[in-house]
Amino acid sequence: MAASALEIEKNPKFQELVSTRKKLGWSLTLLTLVIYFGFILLIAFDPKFLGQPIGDGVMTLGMPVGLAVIVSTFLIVGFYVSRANAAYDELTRQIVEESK
Amino acid sequence: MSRFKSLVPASLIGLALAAVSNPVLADALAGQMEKQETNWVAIGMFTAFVIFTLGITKWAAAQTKSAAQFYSAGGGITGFQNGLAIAGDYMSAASFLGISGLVYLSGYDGLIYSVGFLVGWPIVTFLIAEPLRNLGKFTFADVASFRFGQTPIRILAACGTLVTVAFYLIAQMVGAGQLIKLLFGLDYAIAVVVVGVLMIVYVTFGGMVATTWVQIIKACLLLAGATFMAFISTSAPRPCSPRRWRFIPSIWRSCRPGLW
Repeated sequence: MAASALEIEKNPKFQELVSTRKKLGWSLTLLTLVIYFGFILLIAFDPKFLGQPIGDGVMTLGMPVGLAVIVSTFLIVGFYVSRANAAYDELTRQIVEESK
Repeated sequence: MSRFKSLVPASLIGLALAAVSNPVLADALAGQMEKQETNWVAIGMFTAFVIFTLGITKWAAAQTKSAAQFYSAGGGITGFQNGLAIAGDYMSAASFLGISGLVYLSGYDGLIYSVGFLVGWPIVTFLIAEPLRNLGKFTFADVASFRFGQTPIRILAACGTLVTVAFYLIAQMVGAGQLIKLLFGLDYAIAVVVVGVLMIVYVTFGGMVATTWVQIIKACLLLAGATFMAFISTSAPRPCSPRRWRFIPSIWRSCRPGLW
């Protein structure tokens, strides 16, 4: 017989899944926001820093920094996806298995 | 479901760069764009793309039989395909035309907007995607009304959607209408109606399968076009080798035949 919602809620694995997933989601959200607003505040309060020329051409420091913000979001999402696929899907499968 | 809004055909987008990067023509809302003479090459490209994508829509409509298929393609889209489709969304008229115009007009300040779009997406992934999947629902309104009162939540969600649309879709429609006017020499009112009807047809009949495939094709076209333009515009003029590559048109080799 299938377990009720209350029984699943009491399952320590379910509680572990919910808390670790919530923690990871919010901490990665925070990291993303810190990177993004750090970038915006840097533009707002120290535009000269980003305007420093690099090399002999027209390139300034702001271009690689902007690119780094974009690349960092790729890396953060990649980390989240790898964690979700490896840990959470397995945990969900176990919980479903135990509730049957 | 942001994919549903950005079906401005890709064939227009590349051709539009010249129009947007000219500050005199950039004032699209004021309707200052001159009506052009009929451009048959542009009309041909546009018509071919529309017929091709309507064909995909017809194929997809034949497969769509349930809400799950309409909203999420029955779960039959792989991660890579969905990634390409979302990339097509991301590189839609907003970033491809709007950002390039902004960067042209205000330099680095314009670039901030393209970073801002991208940063919003991981947060959606971290906080909204999983609950949506776990509940087996398709829209934000479905999820929110699962736990709260149906009617007020749905009214609230509809208001949010309409406010977003007012800022987002209308600007895209105006842009697309101006483009068609510029390219085809049609009246602005007719151009907007044509674009609007096409968007509605794509989404209503094809659902998520059609929109996903149209976006995948759009993403590939835009990636190819933008990469090509980036290489051409940043490569230094150099003479062409007459022997090795003579069968390739000189513009594709980024060389100047006269310099040899």
